[in-house]
Amino acid sequence: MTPVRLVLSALILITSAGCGGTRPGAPSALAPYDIGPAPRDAVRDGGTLRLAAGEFRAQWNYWHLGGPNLDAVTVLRTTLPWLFRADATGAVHPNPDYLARVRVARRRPRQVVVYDLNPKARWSDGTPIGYRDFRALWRATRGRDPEYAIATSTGYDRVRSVERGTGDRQVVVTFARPFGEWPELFSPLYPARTIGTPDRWDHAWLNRIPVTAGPFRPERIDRTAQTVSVVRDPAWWGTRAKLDRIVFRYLARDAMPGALLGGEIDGYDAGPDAAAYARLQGTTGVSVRRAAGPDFTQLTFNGAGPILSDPDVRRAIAMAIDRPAVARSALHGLPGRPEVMNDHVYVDTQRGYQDNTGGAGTYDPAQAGRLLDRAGWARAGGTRRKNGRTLALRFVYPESATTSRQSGELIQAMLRRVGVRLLLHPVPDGDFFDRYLLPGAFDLAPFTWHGTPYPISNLESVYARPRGGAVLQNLARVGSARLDRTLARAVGELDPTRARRAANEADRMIWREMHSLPLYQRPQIVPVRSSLANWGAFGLSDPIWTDIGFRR
Amino acid sequence: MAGVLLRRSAGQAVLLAVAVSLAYLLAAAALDPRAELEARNPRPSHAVVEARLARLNADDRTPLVVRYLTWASGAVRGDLGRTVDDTPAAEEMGRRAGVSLRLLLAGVLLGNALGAALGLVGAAGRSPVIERLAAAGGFTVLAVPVVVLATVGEIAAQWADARTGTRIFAWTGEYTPGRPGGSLHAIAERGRHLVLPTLTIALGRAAVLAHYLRGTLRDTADAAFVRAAVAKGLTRRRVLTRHALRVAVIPVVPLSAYGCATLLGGAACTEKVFAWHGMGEWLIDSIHRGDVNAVAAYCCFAAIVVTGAGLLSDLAVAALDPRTRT
Repeated sequence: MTPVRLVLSALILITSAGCGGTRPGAPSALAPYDIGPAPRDAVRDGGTLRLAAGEFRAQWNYWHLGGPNLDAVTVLRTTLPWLFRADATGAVHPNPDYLARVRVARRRPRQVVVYDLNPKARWSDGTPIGYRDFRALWRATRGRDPEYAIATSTGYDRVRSVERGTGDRQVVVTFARPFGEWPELFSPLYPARTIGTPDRWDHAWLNRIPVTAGPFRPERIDRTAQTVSVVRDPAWWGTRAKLDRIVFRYLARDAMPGALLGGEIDGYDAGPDAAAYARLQGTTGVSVRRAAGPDFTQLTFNGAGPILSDPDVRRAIAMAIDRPAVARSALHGLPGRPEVMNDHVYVDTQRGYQDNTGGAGTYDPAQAGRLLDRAGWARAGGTRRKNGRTLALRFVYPESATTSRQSGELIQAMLRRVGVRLLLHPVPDGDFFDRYLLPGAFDLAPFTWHGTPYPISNLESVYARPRGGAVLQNLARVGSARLDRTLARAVGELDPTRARRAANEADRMIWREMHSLPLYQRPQIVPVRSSLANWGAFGLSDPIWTDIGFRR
Repeated sequence: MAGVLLRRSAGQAVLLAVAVSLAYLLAAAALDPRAELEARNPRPSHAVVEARLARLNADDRTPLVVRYLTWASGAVRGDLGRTVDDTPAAEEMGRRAGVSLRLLLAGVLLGNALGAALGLVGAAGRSPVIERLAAAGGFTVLAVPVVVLATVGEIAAQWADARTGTRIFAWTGEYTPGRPGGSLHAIAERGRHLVLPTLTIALGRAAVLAHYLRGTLRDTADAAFVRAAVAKGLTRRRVLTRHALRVAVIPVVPLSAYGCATLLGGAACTEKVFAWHGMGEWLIDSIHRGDVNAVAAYCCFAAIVVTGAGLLSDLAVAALDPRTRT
């Protein structure tokens, strides 16, 4: 996963989802990506692409604690080395601009990965990219030295050494513990001399991008207008970029549709915003590109609560919820057929996705009632009771999240039928995570996880048993030793097929313990100027920035 | 006169210090930067969070008084601490204040002028239809949220552009970045971007001002000196503009001054919708991020502006009202 505030950024997305709009044509499943593809010779040479971006942070060191958010990462994707590139199914491939060859050289006794760098690859200050850069990044992010303010040490904490191979351009990375998603590491890469000390780590990339190695180089960071522009780098050794310049502008979400209509930007990611979709759909000169987004919305159960600590009750609640109806309501006005998610690990369009519900995700109110009866919750009047306690649950959601409120009302009606009272409890947006989810002051909470091409490495923090009071991200606070072992196996598995199998095995256990109930995958709506080629709704895949441009 | 002003300034400096201190204490007590850091995904390690909080002078384990003293000793030297982004808060404040000022200046001036004109028309009482229309228009503007007003403006501008076949209006940001051109072109570009925000702000100001001014003008219109002037043969319009307005405007001046001051820090909706990155947006974003120093810096700015507006309005009232000149 990328080190961004996934939960929080996702919540902002939910918040922006309104209601209304009409669905054009017959709904069909969404494509994994939709970018207005065009061969390179159909794309005009030159031009300026202007994109809307979310908030910019001042820190451009991706691995820094205050590192950039999801939108600002796009700027880094045009300027810094990213060693691997994901395709539409979420499978990753080495990027030949930086890697001549990469391989897992040994598995036993220790995993060893050897990177042979492209001999042409060099930083904009003239120094070649080499093992020193890998080593500096690992030393900072492995988490041993608290002087380095880092966002995450996932993966790096498993590395034992980073050594020089046969030359400066060969890097030998040895792992103390195996790590299956190793391609996630060392992207983006930073020059060693800009991150080598805690002071440089904090300040070399503060409000500037001093050194680059990509198809574009920064032209100007304007902090007053909050724009960043990058221009084609003549020193780039790979395929020449079609565009002359890319301008990223920070706009509030409300300002984006107007900016596109006013000709001030050429495209933006509208998230699941039905209102924007309705406003822009059918405007001449604007195409709305849409794909299955990498995010999925789910309902987390608080397994430490007095009522939901019983797995049978959690299962009963899940069975009493008509997930297709919830998905239809939440995705109303958006393109694509609303489909439920049946996997906690992979999204529908991703390789490895499979239905792991094992009956637990099927809508069956009669069975739900029987499960509750068996758990001792007897029907007394409208609501069930047990030992003097009423079966009433708090559904906590951020107050501005319209979609969550609608889903809550729907689920409230569904649960009433089986004798469960659901209390809708809106809370201030800023407090949702800090003051409710983290301390466990909820029974059910809807929020969205952001999927990435590397779904396995973060599974442990979400689904492994909480240790020593630290819940990390396991907000449901449930788990088992067996699940922990399976998760550890999935994370350490080097063979992708076996890793996927282990991850799905873990997912079946997650379904059985009913940690959380996945609801639906969200579509990605990207309105763009129609002439824009090779950019749009990318789903899980990474853009190829050198091919993006305007049609002739 | 000078003595009065001097005494008032001294009093206001004390008031300023108290207000700013309270604002800091409130921000430090209410905001929770630790929770914000810990809620990040993936979650940073404990040591990293501690180090960051110590650097920001925002560690909730340090007593509030100690944090306040650290902050205050910096603040008197002009150092307002660092934002969560590790940038000096004073520097960011300066930049943002400039943006707010550029966004609001024209709007406020136009709004005041328009408000005065509408107030006069309303009070003149010549045509009840115009009077009613002005009142209804004012209330409509006040009742409609800025976002809607702005969107209506955008749609109208789009329509106008489509009709004329040229692009006259622009409504995103201060200027279009990445477009070449000389300084003359740059000025025109900024002007083009100012039209819609200025109108949005001016309409709001004008609606408030016209409403109050109409009221005070009507009260003044019944005063003895006005009736005397009319009896001596002056036209009603002349009496209103030359004599009554000067008196009627006195109670409205402080209202307008404080209104503009709060606008300078509180035009968040306008800023967001037109993508200007000013003070209002900064406050909202900083509260969301649990950024104590940024919120405190904002409060300093707001306190200074409001105090300054108070002084200015005193001066204006003194100039208008001979009775205050003792």
